[in-house]
Amino acid sequence: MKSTNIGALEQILSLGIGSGLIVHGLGQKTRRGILPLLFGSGLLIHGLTSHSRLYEAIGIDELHGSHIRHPLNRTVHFRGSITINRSQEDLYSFWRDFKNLPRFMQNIVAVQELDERHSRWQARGPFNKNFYWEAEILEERQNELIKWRTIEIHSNLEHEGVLSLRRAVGNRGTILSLDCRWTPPGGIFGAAMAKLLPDDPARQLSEDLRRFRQLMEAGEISRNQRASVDLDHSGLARKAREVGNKPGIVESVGTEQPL
Amino acid sequence: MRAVCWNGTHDVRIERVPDPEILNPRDAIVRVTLTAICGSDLHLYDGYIPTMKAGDILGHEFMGEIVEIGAGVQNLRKGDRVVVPFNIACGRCYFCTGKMWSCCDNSNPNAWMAETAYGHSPAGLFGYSHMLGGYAGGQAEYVRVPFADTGPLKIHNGMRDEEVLFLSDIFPTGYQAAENCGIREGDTIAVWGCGPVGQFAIRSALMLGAERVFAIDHFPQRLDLARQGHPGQFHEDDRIETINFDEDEVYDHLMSATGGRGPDACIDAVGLESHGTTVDALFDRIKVASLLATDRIHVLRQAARTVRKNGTISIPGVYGGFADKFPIGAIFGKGITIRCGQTHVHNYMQPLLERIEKEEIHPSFIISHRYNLDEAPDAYKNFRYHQNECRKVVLCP
Repeated sequence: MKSTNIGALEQILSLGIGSGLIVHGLGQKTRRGILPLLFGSGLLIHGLTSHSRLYEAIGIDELHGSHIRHPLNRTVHFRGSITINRSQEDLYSFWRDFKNLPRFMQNIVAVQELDERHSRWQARGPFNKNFYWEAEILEERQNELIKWRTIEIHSNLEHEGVLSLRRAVGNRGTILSLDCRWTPPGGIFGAAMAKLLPDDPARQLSEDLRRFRQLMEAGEISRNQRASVDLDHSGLARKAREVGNKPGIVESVGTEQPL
Repeated sequence: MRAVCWNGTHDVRIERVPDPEILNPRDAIVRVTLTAICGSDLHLYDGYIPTMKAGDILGHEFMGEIVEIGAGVQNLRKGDRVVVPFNIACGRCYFCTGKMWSCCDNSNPNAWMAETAYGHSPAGLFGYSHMLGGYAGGQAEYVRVPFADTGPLKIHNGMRDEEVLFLSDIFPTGYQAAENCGIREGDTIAVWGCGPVGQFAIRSALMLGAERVFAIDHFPQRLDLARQGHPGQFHEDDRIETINFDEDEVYDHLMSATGGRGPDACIDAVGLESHGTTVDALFDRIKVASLLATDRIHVLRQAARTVRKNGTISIPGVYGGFADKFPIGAIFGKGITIRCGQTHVHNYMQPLLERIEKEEIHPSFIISHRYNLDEAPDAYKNFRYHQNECRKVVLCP
């Protein structure tokens, strides 16, 4: 998609510095001029097209990004849906009991319900950093919708989301849709990092939805056990065994290993 | 325990690995009493299937005795003899409840990989790459069977392992291939590839009412076996005719045999490693060798050209990626139906067991070699390089 995704200030700076570098590069009589020439051309193109492929790839949009509080803060947006062979009532009541969520959400460590509308969450982030937040339910329609957002003062992660359930056409189960945004710490770099990490949180959420379906349909989350020599010493096989011995705890082992 | 591990292209070894354990309530552990090497294992052996990792345990055709069951399994007991379907199915999703078991939504823990490649993920398989679940396979002393309350078929009577083992894959696969032809009384069917699946497809086509079956291959011993007709009765079955594609032009032969109409359905029991001596087959080899395509579809092109107008091509042979010169013109112009996919084994185990019990077929006719599990590296090599003599290998742990 070729639309403008960089801001006016960045555009002006790119054009200015880019032109400067080109002039500087052309002024050099030796090979030393090549680098500023290349870099300057890149900046000039960046400024002229007012579109960055890199930004697009990592999901940065300086003009259309919403929910911006600080010029360097960027939100990560996840939207996913899945069809599950169970009734709206079943899915709703399981999900609404937030204590159930760590059973299939890989990053959620614990959820504590404070009252009807408030709950406290604890999650694992990249590099073993822990996040916590307090969520407030803004809107709730039984068997259909839950909408929430974090209360800033009690949280180190800003977050908002909507879960909605609707009957699939032809009574073929229920369509669950999850739409949420959060602001990773570290501003623009945090958001970029989050996208580049092997455990990209958006992908993990879509995996979580799949695991939710497995739990609701099959009653358990499918796991493989890779019993092979090389893994026996790496701890992965050990982890498989530890997890396997705890009934009711569901955690993927083989799936976490990127290829 | 001892297990057959894949370590790279043409590198299969016996290794000592930890015993499998119950991980989920619906799991069972099976002590393997007999397992087999499948033709599709040769695609792994040859390195055609992506997302294999060194150390992966192979094998998806196996049977044995239940030695441990999870808390959620009600229908099995320790000591039960079972044959296990090669695809893993939860039994409760939209696809399983619709009897489309090989499309199970919930049995692939690595579904995202298959989704990236194919758009959706099929069911997880035993011992067949990480993209299809990363499950340890059955060429081992023990194997963990997920959703054990849904897949395994109990064998009550004193039937020999060798007679029922192939209910796990190749017999249902050949049968489904024939069923997918939509055979009507009196039909003529042509089967490309007289390996184990092709052999079962030939016999299944006759069971389903075909009047004549053409068996196509270039290994004389495989063609001889095809001609022997109904297994057990080693006489020539005049309903089966063989074509050696090294000696005969397949299209011309089939046209003269069917008075120009062509077979009502064609079965491609060869798959992605299809080879031939024609120009297009050579071109395929070059394309694949230079990574411009992944699958060779020589057989598919020949089938599209040969099948009668409005006929059916049924594909039990395995394909994995992309192919070049796909004969869409013939398929459209002649109104051809293509049916394919992994076998919904669960649908066929019980009815085919009954056919075996009634002695309509003796599936062990296919076995040519018996090895101990420790001899698996030799067994793979033999099966790969001596396809004339080596038709089907079983391994006994």
